[in-house]
Amino acid sequence: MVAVMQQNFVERKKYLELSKFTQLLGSAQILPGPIALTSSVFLGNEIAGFLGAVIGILGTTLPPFFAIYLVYLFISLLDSKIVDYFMVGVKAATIAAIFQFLIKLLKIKRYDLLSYLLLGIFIILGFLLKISPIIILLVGSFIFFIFNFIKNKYF
Amino acid sequence: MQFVKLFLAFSIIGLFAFGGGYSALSIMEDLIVKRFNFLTISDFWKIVGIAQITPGPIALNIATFVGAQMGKIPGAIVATFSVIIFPTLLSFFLIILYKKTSKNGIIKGVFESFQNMIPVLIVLSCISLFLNLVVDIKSLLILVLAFLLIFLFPKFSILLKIIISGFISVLLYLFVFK
Repeated sequence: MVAVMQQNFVERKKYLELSKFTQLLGSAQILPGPIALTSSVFLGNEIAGFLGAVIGILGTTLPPFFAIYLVYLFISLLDSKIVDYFMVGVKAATIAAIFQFLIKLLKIKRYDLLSYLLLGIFIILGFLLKISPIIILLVGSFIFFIFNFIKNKYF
Repeated sequence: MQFVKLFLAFSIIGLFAFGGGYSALSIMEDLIVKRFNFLTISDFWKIVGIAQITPGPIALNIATFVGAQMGKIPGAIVATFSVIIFPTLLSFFLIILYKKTSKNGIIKGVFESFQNMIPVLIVLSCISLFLNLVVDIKSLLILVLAFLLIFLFPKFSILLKIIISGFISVLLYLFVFK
């Protein structure tokens, strides 16, 4: 979705420069929520102020909403067994896709050894002790924040 | 009551959904299946699969679907609205903050610390989905095929490969597996 936004807003319609687009994208990435959503708020605001942001949100949210609702209505009509067989393949491909994404992420964000160790510990804690991922996220982020703070990354 | 639960569950999900759909899956599973019992774990992963192949960000799609399941159209609206409320508010918050550059460093730093944890959540989602999927040799085989499909054909879109994987799975189950 981001690639499509870049093609349309930067290249075709020339609403904003690539450098600005990339900057806004950076801000959108660090926030929670789907990047398509957060970036549409930033881009919408950049292009047309508050109203632009609102329209951006509606544009990103409404079409999938209707599409999904239709799928929800029809999914019960399909033969259940075939859907189940199909889902096995989809789930399997999803795992592979997640794995691929993870590899890409680790290449981009170069963690040092200590960070990898921390990540590993958190994964084990999350999986073995069944601690809520939200707790892990909060505690882990806090530890990384202190870690980065010590490394003076914020000055 | 259902709507209050949907609002709570999905606004929390939206608040912690860092790093895109895949890391959010872990949080969604925790809230939707374990805390709020909206779905069984098996149904949850089915909906994840559906959300993958439908247009729109996966977190949005899952919210809409679960909302629809729990409360038809009003449920879908509540869930979808709830999942976007925090990301939207935070986005506006950051836009306003941009004018005060001095505060940027720490606040950005906080968000970036969350970014650091993304691989953990992704791996946890992966493990959970793996445990749900691989129950016998057939599903293991399909997983191996899916990996080959995803990694050997980098030029094709992921969506296409996921759908093809689904079709291959159907064919295998219908004509090959006894």
